[in-house]
Amino acid sequence: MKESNEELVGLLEKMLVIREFETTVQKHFAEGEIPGFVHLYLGEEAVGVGACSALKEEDYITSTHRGHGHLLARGGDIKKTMAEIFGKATGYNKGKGGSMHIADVSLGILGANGIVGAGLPIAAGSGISAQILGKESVTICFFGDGASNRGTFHEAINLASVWNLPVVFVCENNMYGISMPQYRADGRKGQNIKDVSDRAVAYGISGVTVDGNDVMAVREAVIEAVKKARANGGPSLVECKTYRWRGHFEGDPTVYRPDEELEQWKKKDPIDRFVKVLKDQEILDDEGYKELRDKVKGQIDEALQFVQDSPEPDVSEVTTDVYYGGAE
Amino acid sequence: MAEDIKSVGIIANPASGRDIRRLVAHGSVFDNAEKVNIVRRILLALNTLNLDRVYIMPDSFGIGNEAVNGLWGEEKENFKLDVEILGMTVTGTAEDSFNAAVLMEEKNVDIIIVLGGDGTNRVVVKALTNTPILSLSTGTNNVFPIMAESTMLGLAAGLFTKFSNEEKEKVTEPIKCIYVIKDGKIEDLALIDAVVVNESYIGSRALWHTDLLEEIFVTRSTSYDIGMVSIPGRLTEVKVNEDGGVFLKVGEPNQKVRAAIAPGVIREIGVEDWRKVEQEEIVELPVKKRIIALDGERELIIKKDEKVTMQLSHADARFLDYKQALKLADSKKMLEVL
Repeated sequence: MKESNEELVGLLEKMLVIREFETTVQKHFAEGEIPGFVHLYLGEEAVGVGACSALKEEDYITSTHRGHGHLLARGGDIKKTMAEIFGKATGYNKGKGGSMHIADVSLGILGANGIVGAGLPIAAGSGISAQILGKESVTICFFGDGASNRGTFHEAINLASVWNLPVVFVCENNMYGISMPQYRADGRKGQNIKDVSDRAVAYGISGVTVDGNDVMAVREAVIEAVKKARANGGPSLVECKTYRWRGHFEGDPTVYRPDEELEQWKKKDPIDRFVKVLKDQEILDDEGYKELRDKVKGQIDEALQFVQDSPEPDVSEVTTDVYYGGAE
Repeated sequence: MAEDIKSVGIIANPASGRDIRRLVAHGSVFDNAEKVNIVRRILLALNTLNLDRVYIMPDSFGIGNEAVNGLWGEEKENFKLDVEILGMTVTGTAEDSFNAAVLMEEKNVDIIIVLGGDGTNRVVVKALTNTPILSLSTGTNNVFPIMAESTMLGLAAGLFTKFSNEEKEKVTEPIKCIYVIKDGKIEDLALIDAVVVNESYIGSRALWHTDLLEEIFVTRSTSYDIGMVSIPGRLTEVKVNEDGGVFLKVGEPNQKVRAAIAPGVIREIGVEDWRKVEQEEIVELPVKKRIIALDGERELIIKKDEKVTMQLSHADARFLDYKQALKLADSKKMLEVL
């Protein structure tokens, strides 16, 4: 596949939006302006952007509690996303869902999720729905290495396999399930396998592992998995090895991992790496990169202004949309 | 005087056998549990030959330790082999295989057993100046490493350590390679094929978009091997153990061949031109921005004004013919029980 220069720069722009967005959220959370919890996607931008770039409009995604990146990668509105995180009435969920429940069904986003591994059965359900309705839509299910130890992972993949559902399971292996290392040869570990993709074999589906900090590697693998799913070839598991730069949640002191490990991964920054590729290929120059960053910074500033200008939800709205049909 | 220690090195790539070719082709899966098993079988074979030491590359899965720790009962009691996991930083990249090969050569191992695909072997050969290797396939489109039972490879490698220098020469073969030279300097090498591709990035590394292939340079051309060699392989033969290679231009077809470019993937490829290349001959590439894939993996980004040439040559390392080694050992009654 040969992408146009515009498409390649577009992928970089999406990663920059997520980076700038999350850095801004980090700052305002530290200042006590954001209610609840936030789980940041910093360092993992290439996975969401690479994977979502393989989708069409009619496709779906299910997300995790680290979902801001997925939503923005899928084309979510920056202002509404920011407003939701700040608990404003203009947010995606009218300010009542917060970071872990952001959804935009019009973009095929079936919700972030506050429960580890809860998106997996939803993705299988979305796959069944496409199959029954005879639609060509494919669902990408984002989940983490920790979630692959949950029963939901095994149930959803088994079901997707036996019913040949159009679902692509994208594992964001960021090396830790909260504080538990996914695999460490000589210590605490959440799994006795190093590659989550090994689990695909047990369910009779294709499993691959790619460099999750290389946006093109993720994109290529997910394009192929989506193509297969859309052609009734069934589900696949694409494991993307990546690393979260921040703690599990903001405020997590990360005493369970060495600083050197983070430094090593920062050297593999997905944005720096992709910028180098684009510069080496003379697709982007220093000036173009600066313009792109300024453009993104402007979008995030606008979103912050939108948040400031937005009201909080009215107390009278407290039960609205909470129950189907409203509270009687 | 240096101690005369008989030792074997083992480099098992924990990342081989799980790349995108399980999606774009039908590549087999080698999980790390199986690699542990393979290494354990090699160690059990070596254990019977009273070797002094085995060095194993460390990796983030701990293949070497797992192989030893999994022994139990009588096998464990009888296991006397001195196994040392090399003390080196694990980066989780191809650098590990390279660094392990360098360290093993410094320790004067008699031979290194490599578990991986063409890509892993390429990195190991790059690092070596005189240590022979024996390679077992745990990758995908493999041409360079062999498919065989690891117990037999363990025996062959262990017996090899006890051969004289003349015997060692006799049971090993030279390794052909292609040096990629950028602006006058050797940049990298390929053991089987160096392919110019009209891509902009490395991405998931594998090659499967045949419409983007431009030039293919191979060290062997056979009717029966898989991968890029399968394209010239339809047109002419250059064997692994004879001098020479083939340079082929993909494009407006003067000829069209059906080639098996990956497991289960057979494509029609248009061949504009091809010719045989002499050993040590230098081939010039057109100056343009491109990606060069080495042994099936996109590896080098070439900028628009960089001058790239390729030279068909021999690597410094040699390859052990394990069947010849076992035959020689039997002719010397090395496995005979008194």
